[in-house]
Amino acid sequence: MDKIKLKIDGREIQTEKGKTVLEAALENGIDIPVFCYHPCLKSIGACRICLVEIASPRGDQIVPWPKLAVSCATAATEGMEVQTHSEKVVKARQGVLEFILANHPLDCPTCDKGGECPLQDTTFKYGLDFSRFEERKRRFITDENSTFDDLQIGPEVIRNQNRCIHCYRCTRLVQERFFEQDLGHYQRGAFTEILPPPGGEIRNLYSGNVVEYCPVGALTNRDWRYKVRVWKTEEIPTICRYCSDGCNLHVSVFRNKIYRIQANTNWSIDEGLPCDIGRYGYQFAHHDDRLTRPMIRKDDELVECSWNEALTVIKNKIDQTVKSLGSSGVACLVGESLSNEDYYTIGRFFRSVIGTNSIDHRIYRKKKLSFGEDVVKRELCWNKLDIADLEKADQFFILGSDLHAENPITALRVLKAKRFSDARIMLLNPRPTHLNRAADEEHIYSAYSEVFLLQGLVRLIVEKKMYDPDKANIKDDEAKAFLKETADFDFKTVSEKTGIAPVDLETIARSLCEAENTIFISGENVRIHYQRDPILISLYNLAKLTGNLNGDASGILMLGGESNSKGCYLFGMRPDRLPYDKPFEQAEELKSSWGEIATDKPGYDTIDILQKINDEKIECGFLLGLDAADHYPDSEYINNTLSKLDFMVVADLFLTDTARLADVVLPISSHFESDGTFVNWEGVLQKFSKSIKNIGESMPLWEIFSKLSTMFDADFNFKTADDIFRHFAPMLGQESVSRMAAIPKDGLRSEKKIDYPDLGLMAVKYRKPSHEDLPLTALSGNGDHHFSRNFSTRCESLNNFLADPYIAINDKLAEDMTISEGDLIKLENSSGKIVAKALIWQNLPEDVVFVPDNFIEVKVSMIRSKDNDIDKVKMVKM
Amino acid sequence: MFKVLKEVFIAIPVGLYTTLKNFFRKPVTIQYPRIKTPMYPRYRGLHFLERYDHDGAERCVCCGLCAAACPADCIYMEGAENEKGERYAKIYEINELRCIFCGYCEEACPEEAIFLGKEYEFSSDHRDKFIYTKEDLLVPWPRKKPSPIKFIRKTKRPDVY
Repeated sequence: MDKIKLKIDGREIQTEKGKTVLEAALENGIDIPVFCYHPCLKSIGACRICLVEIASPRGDQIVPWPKLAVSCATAATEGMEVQTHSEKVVKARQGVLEFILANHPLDCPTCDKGGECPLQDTTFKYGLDFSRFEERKRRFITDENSTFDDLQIGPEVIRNQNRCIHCYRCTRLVQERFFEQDLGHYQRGAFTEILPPPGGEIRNLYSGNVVEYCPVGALTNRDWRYKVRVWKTEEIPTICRYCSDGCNLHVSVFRNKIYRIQANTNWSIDEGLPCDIGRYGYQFAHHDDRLTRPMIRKDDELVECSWNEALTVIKNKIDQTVKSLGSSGVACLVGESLSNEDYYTIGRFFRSVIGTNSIDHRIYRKKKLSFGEDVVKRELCWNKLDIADLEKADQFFILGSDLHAENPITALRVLKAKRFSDARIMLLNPRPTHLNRAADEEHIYSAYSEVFLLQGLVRLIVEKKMYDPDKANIKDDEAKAFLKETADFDFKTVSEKTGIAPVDLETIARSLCEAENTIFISGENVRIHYQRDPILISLYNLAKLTGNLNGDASGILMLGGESNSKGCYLFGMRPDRLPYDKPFEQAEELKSSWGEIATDKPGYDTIDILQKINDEKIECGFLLGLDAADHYPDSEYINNTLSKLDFMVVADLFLTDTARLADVVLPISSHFESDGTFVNWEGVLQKFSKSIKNIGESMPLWEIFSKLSTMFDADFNFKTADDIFRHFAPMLGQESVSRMAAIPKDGLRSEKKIDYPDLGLMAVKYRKPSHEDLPLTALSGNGDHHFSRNFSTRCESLNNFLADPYIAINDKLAEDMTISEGDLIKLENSSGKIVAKALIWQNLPEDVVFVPDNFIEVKVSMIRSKDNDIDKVKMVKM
Repeated sequence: MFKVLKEVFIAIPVGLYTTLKNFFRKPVTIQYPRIKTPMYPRYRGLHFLERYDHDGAERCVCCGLCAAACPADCIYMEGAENEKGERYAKIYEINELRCIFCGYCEEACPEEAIFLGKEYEFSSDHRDKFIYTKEDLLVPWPRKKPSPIKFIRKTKRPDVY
C-alpha cells in the first residue's frame, strides 16, 4: 500500500493512500466531531460537522482552499496541511450545530440517548449556550394523544422523528451492510422521514444496531426505554452465548440487574454489529423460570434442598455405582455452551476422580459417524480461515447452511464481501434461506441429495477438464480412475436426483473453476446429515480441484454449532480425547497435575452411552447444561432410556423436560454470573466477565465440581475461574498468557494453522437413506430471531419478533389441502406428532416442510426417530 | 481588704445592672412548638415535587440529573412510560437521613420539578421512615395553597423547547 504524508494541526502524519482526511486524523488520535460518518459505512458528507480547513500544495506554494471541506469525504493527499480546530473551523461548526439544533428538540431529560449522545457532547464542546431560534420547531405528529410524537416502527425500535438530524446512518446501515429493505427515508429536506416501507416494520435480524448507531435519540429501544440512565450503569464486557461466531458485547448493569446489551466492537470478529439474538438474548438471565435452589427427588417428586444435601446424595450414589459396576458405570453428557473452565473441571472430575472416560457432547447425532478418525482427518474440523478473511474472497459456495440464522455475523462478512468487493454468493440449500436476498445464484436441491450434488459437480469438472491441472495437482490417470469409480454420478442422474437443471449445474461448476478464491461453507444441515463424511470429502475434492484448499482467502468452513462447540471439543469433552485435543498417549503431562487418569481405553460416546444405559451397564448419568430430551433427535427413545437410569443428575438453568426426569437437579448460573472463556469457530479464545451476582443459590459448574471434588478427597482447590485458567493456560501454547487478565481484548488467536494434507481425489458412495414411506420430508432449523431452545424463547424481546411456533409449507400443497395461513396442522409419523399453525412459503419445495426447532411447545424431536436417516411425515389438517 | 470591698460595692452592682437590664427586655427565645420563627427565603428544608398548574401532571420526567448532581447519593429513581408516551418516575425515593440539603438537585432539575421547601419538622422514631417516596414528596392535587414557585415552563409540549 502506498503511503502519503500530510500535516494535521501541525503534526506530520503518515497514512495510506485512499484514506480520507478524517480517517487519517482519527487514526492518529486527533478528534474531529462526526455524526454521519461511521467506519462501517461509506461516507456521504450529510451532517457537515466534520468541516476542516485545508491547504494543499500547488507548484511550490501551499494554497489554502477557498472553502472549508468536509473531512469525511475528502481524500488525504501528499503534502496537505489541515487545520481541525482553527477559529474559522470552530465558528463553522458552531453554525452547523445551530442549524441542527434549530429543529432538534431540547428534550434531553426525557431522551434515552441523553448521556451517550454525540450531538449532546458536540454541542457541549462547540455549541452556543443559548438559542437564537425563536420560531416553533418542526414536529411530526404521530398521535394526537401522545405528547412526544413517538412511533413504534418495529418490534424493538421506537422512532421520534422530531429528533432526527438526517445523517442516514440507519438507512445506510440497513441497506448497505444488511442488504435489507425494511428501513428507508421518505419526503424531502427537513421533512425527510425515516420509516419502514408502508405497512411494514423494521424487523431484520440486525435491527437493534440502528438504535445504537443513531447519533441522536431519534431511534430508541423499546426494551431499554426510560428504565435507567446510561451514566448509572456499569458496562461489563462479555461474549455472546448463542452462535459460534463469538461476538463481543457490553452488558449494562445497574443494581445487579442487566438492562441492555450493546456492541463491544471487535474489528476482527463482529465489527460492532451484533445481531438481535445477542443483543436482546440476555433476558433469560432474570427469567422467573430460573432455578434457584438444588432439587432432589423424594417420593417421586422434586423438592428443594440444600447444596450439601444434594452433593452428599451425588457422592453416595457415585460411590455405590463404582462399587457395583466399576467406574464405567458413570457417564456424562454436556451441552455446547458452557465455558472452557467448566469443561476442564468436568473433564478432570470424571477422568481423574471417578476414572471414567464416557464424556460426550455430540448428542445431536442419530448414528455413529467415523468423522474424526477417517480420511479427511480432523484437520477439516479446524476452520483455517478467520472471519476477517471472508472479506477477501471472490466467491462463496454455501451448502446446506442457513448462514443468516446459524452464524449471523459470518453472514454479515459474506455480505460485506459482496458489497465492497463484489463477491459472488452461491446458495445451495434444501430450502430457501434468508441469505437469498443477496445471493447471485440460489439453487434448491431435493433434500438429502447433497452427495449427488457435490460428487456430480466434481465429476463434471473432471470430465469436462474444467480445472486448472497446475492448481489442482491431479494426474490424468488419477482423474480417469475417479471417473471410472463414479460412473453412477453422471450428469443426467445428478440432475434428476438433485432437481437442479443441467444448465445450472454447469454454471455452478464453471464459476467454481473461474473464480480465484472460493470459500466453501457448510452448515447445520451438513453437521447433522446422515452422510456427513462423504459430503465433507466431496467438498474437499471440490476445493482441491478448484485450487481453493489452502489459500489465504479460500478454503472449507464447517460452521453451525453453539457458542462453545469448539471449546467443548478442545477441552476434551469426547470419550477419546484429553484437554487441548491431546490423545491418550500424551497423558503424561496431564497426570502430573491431575493424578491418575484412566487412559487404557476410550470411553463411550453418546450413542454407546444410551445403549449401555439400556443394557444396564451404566447406572449413574450426568447431564450438564443440556436438555437431552430436546436435543437428541428421538425424544421417545431418549426419554425411555434416561428413565432407566438408576440415578440421574441434571444441571441446568431451567427445569427442562430432561430435568423433570432427574433424581437431582442442580441450578447452574449463566455466563453473566461467572468469569470464563469461550472459543469461537475460528479458534479464538475470548473471555467474559462476571456482570451480576449468582441468581438464587445457583453456581457455575466448575464451582459445583470443585466442591464435589473435596468430598472425594481430591481437592481441586478452584476458588475462581482464573484458578482454572491458570491450570490450562500452559496448554494454550502462548507463553505471555498465563492468567485470564492477560487475554488480549481481541481474543487469543491460536498461531498454528494446519494445512490440509493432499489426499488425492476420493470417490464417495451414496447410501440410500432409510425412512418411512410418507410423502413429506421434515427439515428444521432456527426460526426468525431465535437460537437454541431454552434461552431465546425465554427472552421477551425476541418473542416480540416471533412468539409462536409454526410449520412452513409450500403454497401449492396448501392449496391442494385447502390450508390457509394460520390454520392448525398436524405432522405425524410412527414416532409421534406435532401440531402448529401453518405458514405458507412460496419457494419451499413441495415435498418439504420446515419446522423451527426453538420452541418448547413444539418439539421437532417428537417426529424424529433414531432408526431412520430421514424424518418423513404426513400432514393432516386439524 | 480593699479588694474585697471593691468587689462588693462596685463589681456586683455592675453585674446586676446587666442582669436587671435584660430582665425587662423582650426575650429572644420563642415558645417552640407553639410559636415558630419565620424562615429565611433561601432556607432549604424537606423536598417536594411539583406539578403542572393546568392539569396537575407531575413535572418530574425521571431524567436522573438530580441523582447525578447529588453529592450524598441519596436519590433513587426508576423510570417508565405512561399512556401518553411520556417518561415518568415509577419510583422516586429520597433518603432524607443521607441528604445534606445542599440544594444541588433543585439546581440541576431541568423540568422545575424538585424544590427544597421550608419544612424541617420531619423527625421520626425509625430510620426507614426517612426514605420519602414519590407519594410523600409530591404536592397534593388539587392544591391546598398556591405554589410558592414562579415557573418558567408552563406545559410539557415539545415544540416550545
